[in-house]
Amino acid sequence: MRRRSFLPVTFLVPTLAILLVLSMVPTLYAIVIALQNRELSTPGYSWVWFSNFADLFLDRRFLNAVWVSVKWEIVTVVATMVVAIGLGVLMFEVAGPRLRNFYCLLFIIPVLLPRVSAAFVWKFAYHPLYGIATYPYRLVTGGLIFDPLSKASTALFAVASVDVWQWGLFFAVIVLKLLETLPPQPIEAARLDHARRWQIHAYVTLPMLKAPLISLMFVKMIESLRSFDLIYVMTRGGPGVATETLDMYAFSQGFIESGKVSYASAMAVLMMIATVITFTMLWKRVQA
Amino acid sequence: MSAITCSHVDKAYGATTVIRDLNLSIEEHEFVVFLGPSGCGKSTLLRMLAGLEDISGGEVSIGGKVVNDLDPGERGIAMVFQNYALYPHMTIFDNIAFGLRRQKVPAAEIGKRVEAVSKTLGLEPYLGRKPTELSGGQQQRVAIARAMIKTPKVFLFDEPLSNLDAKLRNHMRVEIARLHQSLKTTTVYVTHDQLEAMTLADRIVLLKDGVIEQIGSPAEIYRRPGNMFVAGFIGTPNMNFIEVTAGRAGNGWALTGAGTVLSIEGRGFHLQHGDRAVLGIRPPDLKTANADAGGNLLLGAADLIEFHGNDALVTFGSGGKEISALVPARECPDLRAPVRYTFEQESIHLFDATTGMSLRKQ
Repeated sequence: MRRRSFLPVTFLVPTLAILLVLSMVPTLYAIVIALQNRELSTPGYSWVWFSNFADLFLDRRFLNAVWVSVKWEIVTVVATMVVAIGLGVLMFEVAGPRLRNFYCLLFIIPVLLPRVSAAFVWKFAYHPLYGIATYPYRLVTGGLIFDPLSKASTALFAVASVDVWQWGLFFAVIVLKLLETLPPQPIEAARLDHARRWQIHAYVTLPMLKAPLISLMFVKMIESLRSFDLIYVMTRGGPGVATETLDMYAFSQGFIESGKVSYASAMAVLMMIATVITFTMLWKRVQA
Repeated sequence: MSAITCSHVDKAYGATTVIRDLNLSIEEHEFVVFLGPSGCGKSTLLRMLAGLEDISGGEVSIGGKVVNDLDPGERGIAMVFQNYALYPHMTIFDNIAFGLRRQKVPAAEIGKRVEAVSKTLGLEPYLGRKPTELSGGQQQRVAIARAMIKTPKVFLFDEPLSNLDAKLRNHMRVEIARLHQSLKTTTVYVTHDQLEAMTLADRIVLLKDGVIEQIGSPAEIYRRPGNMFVAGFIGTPNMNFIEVTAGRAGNGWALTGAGTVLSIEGRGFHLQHGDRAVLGIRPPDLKTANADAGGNLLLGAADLIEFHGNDALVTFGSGGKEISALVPARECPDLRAPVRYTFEQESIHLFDATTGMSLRKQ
């Protein structure tokens, strides 16, 4: 009996210990730093407790970053799910088995690309003079310049499109595979019940896939939080602060512009708390 | 006017032909059962009527209208599937109402019709539940309700009772029979269970390898099977087949085989002297013979006795051939005891040994 209870512990303890060190130590340290007034330029510091947090709520740039983050989250998650479901259903309806395999392979490639590479590829594609993505605009307008990445109104969507290109196409493959796992009889029954093609999906197949689709959406929501590399390469938060998300702003406050690591840590801590609360609430709602 | 007509219908998947040049017409209000072993094409044929499978060749018409290129929804049919095929995320009410909603029937009318249908099938207490909260029999009843509510010209049933346990199957079979009696809707029913076929059908269409072997009422098919396949497929326990050689004997015929000579008048059959034929006789048609009885006798020793309750199935060897007789349980012999069975001449079937076709005169 003793031997039995000993074995799981043997395996669990080292892993958990490493996990604890790797995740808890930085987290706790960030919280500690957030309560101080450390700056990279000076070695000394003192405890300021919650004044960093109070300052944040008076910082218009921080509030902008919150808004940009929320926009980024909504735009990428919604667009990814729309593209995934749209393309997945389209493949399911139109393509034969061999063509489906081909598209699946094709649609998985973008997500295999490292984010930084994808960002560089698209940054060039959006180049106002040479980019392939802006080429149709030049062609139609006879050479007018359109620079989506340096216009405040379009920059966020241009960056988001890369995210959707990577994840929307990949999720389309997953949606197709999910549709293929469904039993064919309810679909046939719906055809006999006068349902049109789109009605079959709207009323029968997609509701049947509700649980896996919600899981997919959660995966994408968590993935969307980690937008830093994409934005850093493509716009660095610009033009102005149009694409400056929270992680971007925290990074530039901490390491680029002023070296206020305590201020940046306070932001990170706030972000963590907000994320945990939001996701817990969403998860509870979905479960109910 | 017939409700369904199939003329020269073919179905092929690539190079494999599943149904070959099939001709069939089904009358209005008729209950027709497609019966056959697995893979005979009966379900495929039904799905072609429903529009769920393309028709490779020939023409199918329902209610006088050619439906080859019509969508399933436009054919005026309703189908009940083997595994119910309910929409799992919808309540029973929504399941039943789905088809009407797609046809934009006003909500008030939908409510009324769902109520009427669920009353007929005793589903009223379950309308608010999900399919998974219902038993198999109840789910199949919901599937039938979903088909009924569309008031179709034709009902199609694809092995609807196969997923139910034996007791429930009997119960649902009776319900389906009652339903047909009251609605009189033309019905096509696919099954591999001959009991279902015999009890439900006005006419049975017996299929094998995509070809119709025989069409007829249950009694016709049982009493006058057109060939050896039909004779062997219909009837439990299975018909005994004994290979014999026919020879002239006075006014009648002598059939030599299985270590014995049987003499029959043979007026009802096409026989030629020296023909090789197969004698078919159903186990219940064999009767225990008295020790001093003459006439046609099959003798042997009981090898195997299967007790059925009222009856017992006695299998004995006669001239190296296994023969079964279904006798009342009280006449059941001991194992390995000698047995003597006789039969009435009217109860025998004769088939051509090479073609397997019945030798009976029409």
